[in-house]
Amino acid sequence: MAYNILIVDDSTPMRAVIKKVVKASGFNVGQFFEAMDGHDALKVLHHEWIDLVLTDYNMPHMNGLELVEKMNKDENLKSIPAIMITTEGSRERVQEFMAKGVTDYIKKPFTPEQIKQKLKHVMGATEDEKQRYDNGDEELDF
Amino acid sequence: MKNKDMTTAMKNSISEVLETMFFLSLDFFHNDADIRDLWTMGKDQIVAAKLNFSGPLSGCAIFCIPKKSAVSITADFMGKDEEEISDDQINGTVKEIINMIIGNTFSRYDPDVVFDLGVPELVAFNDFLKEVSDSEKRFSIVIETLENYLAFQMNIKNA
Repeated sequence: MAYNILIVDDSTPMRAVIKKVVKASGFNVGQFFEAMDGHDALKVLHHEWIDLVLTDYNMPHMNGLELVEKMNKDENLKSIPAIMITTEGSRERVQEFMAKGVTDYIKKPFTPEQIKQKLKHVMGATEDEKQRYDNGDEELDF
Repeated sequence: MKNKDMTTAMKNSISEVLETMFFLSLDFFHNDADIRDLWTMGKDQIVAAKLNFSGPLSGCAIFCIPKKSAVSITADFMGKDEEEISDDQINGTVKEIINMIIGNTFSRYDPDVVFDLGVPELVAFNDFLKEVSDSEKRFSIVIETLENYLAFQMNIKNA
């Protein structure tokens, strides 16, 4: 299965680098979409089929955490996994990310291998959940 | 605040970010270098990005790099030829560098404390010099690459 990925970052070079690294990781990408901040991302999410969001935290207008919170309040978007790619590394901030619905996070600077492992981990889990759902097993919990 | 700890955190972060993501081989220059005297080129040939921060410490950090080196770093970062690189891409890369280094510095300095980082912005080199005079405490780190000098400075107003 090929996944459509939305990359949200206010830095044009960083969006290009993330795209390059995801491609190099061998992850099966259908199409890349890009957004410059949370507002921009929500527009894309409402118009395109997106399987995974890779978002920066620190952006003008709407940061990555606000974006994830908006996604989680929207019935059509809340099942889309969102990975935060961020320089923020304090324990408290990471706990806040997870408590507010971020699926996983990648700390900058990152290596291609780290990106590959996180994508595998997050999308693998999502595939497992889909499989369980298809099998009628909806009671699985953490 | 322990000066030595902050300097170590900055140096480790600079090494990690520039070596991991920008493939730069670097050496640290002596700590007390005066950034104003580093470059002989015109000040308009220096690209400078600033990032404000707040939390237990507040102030700003500034990264200065000659434009020629910024073009080269951006091209390597994006996997393009230097001729293909636009000013927008150069500016974005320089802002991303300061963002990554300062975020990384604070999480190394104290992972139990939250610092709020602003959005990186470009500044004129002369504005950087003004920030220097306004700060209570500052940490300057100069890096020597194969081609040139790069400089970071953290200015703290509530040290």
